[in-house]
Amino acid sequence: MIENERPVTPEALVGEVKQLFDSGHRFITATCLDLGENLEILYHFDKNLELQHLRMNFPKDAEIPSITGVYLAAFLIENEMKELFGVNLKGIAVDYGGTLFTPAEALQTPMLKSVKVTSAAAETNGGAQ
Amino acid sequence: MSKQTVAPFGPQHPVLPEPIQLKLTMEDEKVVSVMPAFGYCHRGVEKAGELNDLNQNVFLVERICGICSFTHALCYCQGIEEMYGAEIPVRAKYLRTIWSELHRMHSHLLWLGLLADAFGFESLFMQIWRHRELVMDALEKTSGHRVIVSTCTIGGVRRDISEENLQFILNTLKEVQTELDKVTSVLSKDYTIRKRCIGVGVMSTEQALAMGAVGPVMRASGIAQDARQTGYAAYSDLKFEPIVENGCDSYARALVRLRETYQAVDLIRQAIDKMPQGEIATKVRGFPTGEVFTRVEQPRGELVYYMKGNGTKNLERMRVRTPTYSNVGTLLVTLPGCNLADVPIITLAIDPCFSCTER
Repeated sequence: MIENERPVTPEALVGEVKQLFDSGHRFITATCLDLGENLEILYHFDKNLELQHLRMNFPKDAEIPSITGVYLAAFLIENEMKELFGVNLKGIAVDYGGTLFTPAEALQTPMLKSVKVTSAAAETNGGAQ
Repeated sequence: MSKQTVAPFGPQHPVLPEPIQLKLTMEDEKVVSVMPAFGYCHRGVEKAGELNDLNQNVFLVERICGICSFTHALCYCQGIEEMYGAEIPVRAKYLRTIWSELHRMHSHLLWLGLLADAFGFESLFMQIWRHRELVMDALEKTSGHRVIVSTCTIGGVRRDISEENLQFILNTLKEVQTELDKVTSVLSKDYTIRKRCIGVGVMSTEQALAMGAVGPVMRASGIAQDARQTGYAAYSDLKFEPIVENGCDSYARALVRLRETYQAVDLIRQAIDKMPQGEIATKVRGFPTGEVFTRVEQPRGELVYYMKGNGTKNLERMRVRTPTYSNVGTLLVTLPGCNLADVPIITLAIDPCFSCTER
């Protein structure tokens, strides 16, 4: 739980984001988290250094609307979440088709917890995998 | 209507310190639209941040970007400290401020030199980079390293700055300021610079907000916002106002960075003047839980870290949003309508860092 956050559903997301846009908020970024069964996206906004966060929890296969119709600035992070977490985002204004940062033949959805990778530091020092 | 062609700009180009490709749709010499293509330096830093332990991550985040290495470590450490509920010593806050502003100075001087280089003003480029070396000397003198100073740690800083080295910094600032005055005169009067930058890459205040611009790019469009206003490190004790320009063009972005270099000189002097004696680090114990959203002002703009602790030595999640990640989107607004010859200046005006962006 972080300060100034409120829950939002996928159905209400675009409407809530539009309200923030109309009230002069700047879109900072979004953060995707893998919670196991579900994914969670935190949308972060700022107005005069006051932060606002929207928290949306949804099943991994749920269809999520893009907010790029309101904030075009979100096109990068939405493409990143689609590519690295496998979020089923629909209607991204500039859609890279899952190849924003990684090529099509690369490891798919590497940020999901189920995808195991190891780091040199983890191997050397017995860290988590 | 003329026939449209697609011209690739990058991934290797003299104005690009790191690779990105801008796919420019052109009609004759005019840019109609642009599509940035990434993926040349994605390193999976956020995933690595979940594999390393909390202390190893300090060294990891310092390597997201060379120019902003200290501010990455600062943002990460202050977030982890917030998760621990730890209060760091006051002297450590001041030392963090001094190193942050030294980084801002060398970053802005590097950029001003690159700007001069972008339109072939080689003597100005070399002159500015010579002044930058003075700042690099101060970093080396106080930390042992020129670029990745690695002085930040969870709970404070790793090393103090002696009285002798504080005096060295003050002498350096005096010298840099004297040299900067000469550069300022050229930047403000030179015909070529004004011709190539004024009215080029215009982005209105409304567009800057809608595109999520940050840092000097945002402040050059008339928005007085700077993460230092939140008062992190020792900024709450210092006299500070964001530098704002209203030109909304590439020239305004250059002026913001130039004025911020002077401002950094002033902030370091204030910090040295007010810095108390005392401890430089506090011990933190255990493994934190909870979520934090924290931000600092990098030379290129607002840097954001979201972190989630799960009570183990590893983070559940580490999200990094760097300034260029926000500013690169502004190219969708500033490039269409410009001439091909202006693309390098407009691209450079966001001070792009793609190793930051891709992480």
